[in-house]
Amino acid sequence: MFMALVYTSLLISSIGIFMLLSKKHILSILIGVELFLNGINLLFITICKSYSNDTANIFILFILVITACEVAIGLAIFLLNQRINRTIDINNLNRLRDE
Amino acid sequence: MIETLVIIFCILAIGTALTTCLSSKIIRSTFFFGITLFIIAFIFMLVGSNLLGVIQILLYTGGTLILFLFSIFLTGDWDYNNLGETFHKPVTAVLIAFFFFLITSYLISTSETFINLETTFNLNRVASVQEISSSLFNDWIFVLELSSILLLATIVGCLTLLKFRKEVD
Repeated sequence: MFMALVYTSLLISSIGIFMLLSKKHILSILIGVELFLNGINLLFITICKSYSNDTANIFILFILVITACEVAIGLAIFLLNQRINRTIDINNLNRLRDE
Repeated sequence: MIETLVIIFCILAIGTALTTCLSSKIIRSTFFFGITLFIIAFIFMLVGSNLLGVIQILLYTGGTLILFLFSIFLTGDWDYNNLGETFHKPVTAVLIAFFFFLITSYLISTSETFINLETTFNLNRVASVQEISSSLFNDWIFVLELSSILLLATIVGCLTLLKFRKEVD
């Protein structure tokens, strides 16, 4: 059971890494980051079950806060890029610097 | 019974995460991402972290997923055909993800710490909400305040970024 949960979290994280590196769409990249962090959360909770304290729950709460911030900023940049450059391609993000 | 359910949900989570990754359209990918988050929340609940499961459902499917959907709807007139389906350097990405999985799996399976953790793993221990809140507001109060400042900075940052619209238009 322990190893099943650990390998599930690692697989979900690996899928997130693949999505983060291979996709060109900003939303897909953000979804990849979310998947990666969810896999890490699952690993945290699995390890937490082997100890007697609940510190991992608090860490996961902070990870959720950071993830929410990252998604909000990422989507704001996505909308800004779409408005200014008229594109959703991640390779054109450096054009925002000139505006 | 619970162990069987956890394994079924683990398989479902991997399957939906793969479908999220391989979906051709971004809207379909987002919906499968939501299903993945729901399944992970159910796993949290099954292993005894009910609070985290509820927060996962409220924060992700009630917040983050809606943000994604709004972003897609706001940019709905864009032609996604060239970007949603394609992969940029897929072989390199597959290799990096595979090596990440391989190295971490090897380290975990050979680590003495993880072997000891497996013996002390207790699925039936339920995380107490009182203990979590007590620890959060006593031991971790400084980090909690920092995260609230981070959230405030995020709101200001998003507003500043999107204020740019008037100047451009």
